[in-house]
Amino acid sequence: MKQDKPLDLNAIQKKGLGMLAPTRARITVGMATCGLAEGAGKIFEALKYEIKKQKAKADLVVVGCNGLCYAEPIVEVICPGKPRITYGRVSVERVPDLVASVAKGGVVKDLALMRMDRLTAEGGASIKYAGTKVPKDAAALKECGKLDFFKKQMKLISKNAGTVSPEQVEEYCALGGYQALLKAVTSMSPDEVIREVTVSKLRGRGGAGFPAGFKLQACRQAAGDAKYIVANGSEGDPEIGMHRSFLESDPHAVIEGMAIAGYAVGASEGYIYLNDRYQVAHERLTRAIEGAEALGLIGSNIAGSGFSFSLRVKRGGGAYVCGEETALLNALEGSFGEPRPRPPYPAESGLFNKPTVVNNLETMATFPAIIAGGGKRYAGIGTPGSTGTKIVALSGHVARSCWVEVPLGMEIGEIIKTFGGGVANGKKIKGFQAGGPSGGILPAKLLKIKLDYDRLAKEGSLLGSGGLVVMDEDTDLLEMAKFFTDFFADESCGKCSICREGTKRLQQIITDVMEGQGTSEHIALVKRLASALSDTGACALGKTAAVPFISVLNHFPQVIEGKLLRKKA
Amino acid sequence: MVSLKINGRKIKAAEGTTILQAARANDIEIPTLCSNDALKPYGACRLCVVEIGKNGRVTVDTSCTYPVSEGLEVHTNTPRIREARKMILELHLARCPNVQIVQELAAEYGVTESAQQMGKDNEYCILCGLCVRACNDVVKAGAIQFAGRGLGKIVDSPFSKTADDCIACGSCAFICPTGIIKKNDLFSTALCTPDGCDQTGPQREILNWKVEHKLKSCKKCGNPYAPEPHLEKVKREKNLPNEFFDICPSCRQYPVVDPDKCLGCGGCMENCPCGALELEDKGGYDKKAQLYPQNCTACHSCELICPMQAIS
Amino acid sequence: MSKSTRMKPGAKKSSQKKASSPATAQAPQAAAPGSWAGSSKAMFELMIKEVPESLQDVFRVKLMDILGQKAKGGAYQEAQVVEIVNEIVPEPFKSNILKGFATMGGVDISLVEGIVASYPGGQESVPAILHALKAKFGHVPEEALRVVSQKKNVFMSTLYRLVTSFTAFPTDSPRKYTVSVCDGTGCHLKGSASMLKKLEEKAASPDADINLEKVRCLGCCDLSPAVLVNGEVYSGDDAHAKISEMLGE
Repeated sequence: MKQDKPLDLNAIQKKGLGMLAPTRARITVGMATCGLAEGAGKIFEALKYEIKKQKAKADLVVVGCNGLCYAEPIVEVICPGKPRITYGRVSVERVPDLVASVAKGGVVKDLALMRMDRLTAEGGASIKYAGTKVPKDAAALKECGKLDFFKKQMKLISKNAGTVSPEQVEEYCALGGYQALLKAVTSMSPDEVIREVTVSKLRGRGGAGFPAGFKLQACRQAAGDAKYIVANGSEGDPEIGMHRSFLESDPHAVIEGMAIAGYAVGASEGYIYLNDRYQVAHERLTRAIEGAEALGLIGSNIAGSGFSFSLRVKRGGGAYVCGEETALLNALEGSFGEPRPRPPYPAESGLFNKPTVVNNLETMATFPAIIAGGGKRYAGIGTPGSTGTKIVALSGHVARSCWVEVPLGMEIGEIIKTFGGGVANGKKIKGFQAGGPSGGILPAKLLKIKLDYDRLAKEGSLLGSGGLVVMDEDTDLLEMAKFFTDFFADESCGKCSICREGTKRLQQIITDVMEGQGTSEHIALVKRLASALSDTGACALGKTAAVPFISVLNHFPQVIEGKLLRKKA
Repeated sequence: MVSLKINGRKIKAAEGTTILQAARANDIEIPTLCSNDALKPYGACRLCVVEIGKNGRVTVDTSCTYPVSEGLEVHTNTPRIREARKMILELHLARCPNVQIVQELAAEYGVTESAQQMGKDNEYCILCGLCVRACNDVVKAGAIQFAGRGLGKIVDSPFSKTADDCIACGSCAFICPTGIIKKNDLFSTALCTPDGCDQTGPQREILNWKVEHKLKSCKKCGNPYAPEPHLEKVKREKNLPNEFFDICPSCRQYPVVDPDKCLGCGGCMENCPCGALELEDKGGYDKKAQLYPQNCTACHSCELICPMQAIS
Repeated sequence: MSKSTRMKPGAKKSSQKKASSPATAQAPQAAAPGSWAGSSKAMFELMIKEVPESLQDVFRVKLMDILGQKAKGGAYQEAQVVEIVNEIVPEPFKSNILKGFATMGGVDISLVEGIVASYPGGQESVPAILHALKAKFGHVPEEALRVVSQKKNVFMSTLYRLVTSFTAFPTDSPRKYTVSVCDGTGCHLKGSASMLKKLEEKAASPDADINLEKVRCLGCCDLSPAVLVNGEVYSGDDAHAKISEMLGE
């Protein structure tokens, strides 16, 4: 291991900068799952062939997703001294033109989306792509930082996505990576680390929104001869996989965050519980861990501090319920996917009954930013009750499927309009869903509310993992309520009677209503069921199982009332 | 010991116990379907939910799993709790309308029939998990488990075949509250074919797990008394000779301690592999050995070791 | 050789006099004389095949006779065939036959043992082993689970629950084609339900060797409703055409 060799982060950074802005051209292909699904793999092969054929002086690099999923496949061309050009919807036939642009120096106009003149990274170097004089071709393109899509984001934790090669740790370091971890283990005490996170008021990004600092503190204070850090990467919600994209684009952010958490509580081992279908993310994460270990950035005696941290990826078995932290812990132990009774909470008794911090991937990836910039600065972003930034993924009947990072407190309607381009096909919006199936369906008139934990909870919804699904005027809301209820019934672990039997009966009731056989008795029954589910469900799945139908009942009463049978006197 | 309040009453309970245990120790009734004193709590039926006030916040949670702590304020029978229990019982009734224990419990909450809008099944297993927990955690045979999840969940043997690990102890049938686990002890069975009848001796069958095992018969009274694989397990774990199992517990002679000869040296107690002997005050000068036959396996170790030959 | 990884419950002989039980319960099947339990028939055939061709007919009659004696009027059991091999068949035929039995159903036990050995630890190593078994065999065969149970000291019933409660560990042999329809919220809004119905009709036909499954979010919202056909993503109607092509329609 590398404990004897002193860690020279400066040298690593320098190497990374040389890779990000080399003396030869650099051509990158966005190869996260969204890109791959649109054919990025074929584009990569075509580029490889074409570069060789044209004898172009260019490095071909795999990068992740910059959030512009609707424009995949995305190829970027960076020529020394020239702006970084982003091309979208690239097809195999156009690859020769792109490669030719390296030698010719021009821009393939009809494919070009935007240019980037300068990349500023916090704590890291700034990369000046273009000189003071921007070539005419490129000047005609909009500058990335001036586009609303990027201007209105606040890329605090996702800044590297789409820029760095996920498997080249040097590139991550060039943009400031691992500085926060080193700062923590060499110049801060664990209590100081926890204090920064507490001051930041960061809330768990997985769903519950529990204050991250409290959790770290509770685990630190708990007694145990071993402690664990567990990242929840099960992402079982049926909407778009934005955490998948994040892992495929910038896995080191999660690794660094977990190491910081380990230092804070005194844990030397970490696990990432990963959705079993995320093969690409699994490979990239595994290789990233190896890369970081090879350079001594994690592993034993990090930077001579005496703190050691190692982590492993474990694949899940395909169960949404394992997104619930205690069911996740059971699954990690090789046991059944069902929740444990709480108390005791995982911070006290978690993995193998040892004190464990279980946090969502996004929460972990936020720790480096908080340590680097300070908790107070983080708390200044967003709203007082919901500080910081959040990754939001837009899908459904939205014009542009994408994911972005925005300060909390941004109006939901504005998010949909600015980044998603509003509703697709010029239709009107009927409703939207926030936070996954547990968030129910909200009406268009609530588009003006802010993306905020408490504000959404007030409407019976939740921020959850940050997905926003847009539903247009032609959507059959009752059918969507059934869809979400079916989801809960399929995924129920079956342990507690209320959830297992309750979701089954909900399905029957909703079917009756959909087929025009529903009566006011059905509705009264659903309300009683919802109450019992919320009170006695053993975990959040059961507790929120009735929310989809109840939300349609509350926010779109005409949809259901219109279908009910009128009882004769 | 911690102090907490249940229904306004001040209660003291030992640390590490649950609200349910504390309530029952103080004659406060809370309904349960999946709870058993011999088993760790599971929290499947949700009937035992109570309102728990802690630091000013009220939550609803299962009393069988919730540990007691200082200052808790628990209410076991509020309207909110009763409504929740009614719904749970209605759901049980919809699934298992013909199960007696469900009918009885539901009747206590004024529920005679599940809502028509719910639909109805005719199951007999309430998925309380008592059989599974008994088999895995107490007997430690691991012959059966839950299988599947959610609506398709059942209790099953691996691949729905004969449960190879079953020792036919019958604990599952004993602990099942609905009677769906069918254990039959057959004095003799015969398979008759055109070639003749093949007699087999006494057998126990547990139909649900497709299990059939021979019952061992007592050499003294001739009655079948325990399944052979169960005895195999006991033999392995307690390291007993084969002959020990030739006599059934009823015929087995249990040691008798002669108090006049007993010195109270405790040698028998130390050598007893089952903890069936204790030294107790009998009102005389020394303590005397006292047998607890429920633990005794009649291995005769005590008889052999007693220096005064006080045990026969 | 038959590929039977899902064996029918072993039928046990019994007929007895007792009071009938009121509630429904699964009673063991009374086995018909002369029926073959589990893979016993395939095993018997494998055994006969080892005999020189000219003698196969003679041996078939003789060994059937012995098997009939062992079965005592009940079904022929796999264990009885193994007994015959052990008791009667000489080497080298015996070893070959026994080795053949071990790899029946397409499961090479030595491969399973190799996989299990490469994941040290107790029960916490089991999920990773199950993934590796699925990767190797296309599914998780029962025979493989028995090895895991022995080596890791985990109850077979526990393993059965793991594979039936997690969707990642199918126990049935894989079909030739796999078609995954994305039924994530986004694709559902764009019509995946009707796409699924159309494909269900196709997959239901008896010669369609298709495993049709619902998955959540393939990541290509632009192609909604997205369908994964043998590893390639297609959009809705294109998927339909591709599958027709696959089935040779």
